[in-house]
Amino acid sequence: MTMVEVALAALILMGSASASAQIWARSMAGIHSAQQRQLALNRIDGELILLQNHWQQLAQHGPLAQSCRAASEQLLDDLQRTPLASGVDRQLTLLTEEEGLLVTLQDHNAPQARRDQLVKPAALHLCEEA
Amino acid sequence: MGLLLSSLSLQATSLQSQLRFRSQLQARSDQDQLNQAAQRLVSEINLHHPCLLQLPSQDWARDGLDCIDGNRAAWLIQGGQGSPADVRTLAWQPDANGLQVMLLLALPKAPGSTAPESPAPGGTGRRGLFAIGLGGDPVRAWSIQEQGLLGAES
Repeated sequence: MTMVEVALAALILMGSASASAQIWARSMAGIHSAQQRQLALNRIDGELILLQNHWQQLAQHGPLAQSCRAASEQLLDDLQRTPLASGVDRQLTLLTEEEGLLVTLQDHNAPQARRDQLVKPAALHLCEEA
Repeated sequence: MGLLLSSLSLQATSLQSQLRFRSQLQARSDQDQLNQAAQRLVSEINLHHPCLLQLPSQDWARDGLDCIDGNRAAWLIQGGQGSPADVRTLAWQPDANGLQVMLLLALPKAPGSTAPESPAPGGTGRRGLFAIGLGGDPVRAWSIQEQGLLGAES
C-alpha cells in the first residue's frame, strides 16, 4: 500500500467518522427535544383534567347564576384565581357570539402543545337561561 | 461503520418521535373540536329542547314532541355550518335509568382523507364518545365526560 493510498483511506475514515458524529449529535438533540415536547403535552393534559374535574365539582352545587353570561363571568373570575402548573400559560376568552368561556392552555417550551377547551355554563347546568 | 450505523438508527428514532408527536397533536386537536361540539349540543338541549334529554336521537324527529320540531331536530343531528354541534351526532343514547346518556359525535371527513395522521383539509372523520350525566327536577344535563377518541367510520 502506497503512502497516497494510506492518506486517502485515513481521509475517508475521518470524513465518515465526522459525518456520523454529526448525525449522532443531531439525532440525540432531536430525541431530547421530542422528550421535552412529550412532557409538555403531558403537563397540559394534566392541567386540562384538573380543569374538567373542577367544573364537575362546581356543577354538583347547582347553577352559579340565572343568566349564562353571568355564569361565564363567574367561571372566568374563578379560573383567574386558580393556580397553574409552572411552564404552562393559560389564556381565558369570554366569548361574545355565544355564552361560554374558551380556555387555551399552552406550554412555554413547546408552543405547539396547545389545547383549546370550551366550557358553556348551560351545558353543565351552571345557568338556567341564555 | 459502527458509529455510522448507530447514528442512522438514532436518526430513525428521532424521526419516529417527531411523527408520533405530530399525530398526538392532531388527536388532541380533534378531541378539542369534539369536546366543543359536545358542549354546544348539550347547552342547546339543556336550554331550549330539554324534552330530548331522555330520548334516543332516532326519536328526536318524531311528531308530537313539545320542545322541538322535526326540522330543528334534524338540524341538531346533522351538524354542519352554524349548527350548535358543527359535527354529526351519530348517537344520543340514554341508559335505562335515564341518568346517563352516551353521546357519539363525528367530525366531518374530508374526501380523500385516509389516515388521521395525515388528514386532508377539512377533517379526519374521527369520532368522540362522551358520557352525559343527567339529574335534577326538572331533569337537566350537568356533566360531560370524554370517554375516548375513536377512528373514522369505515
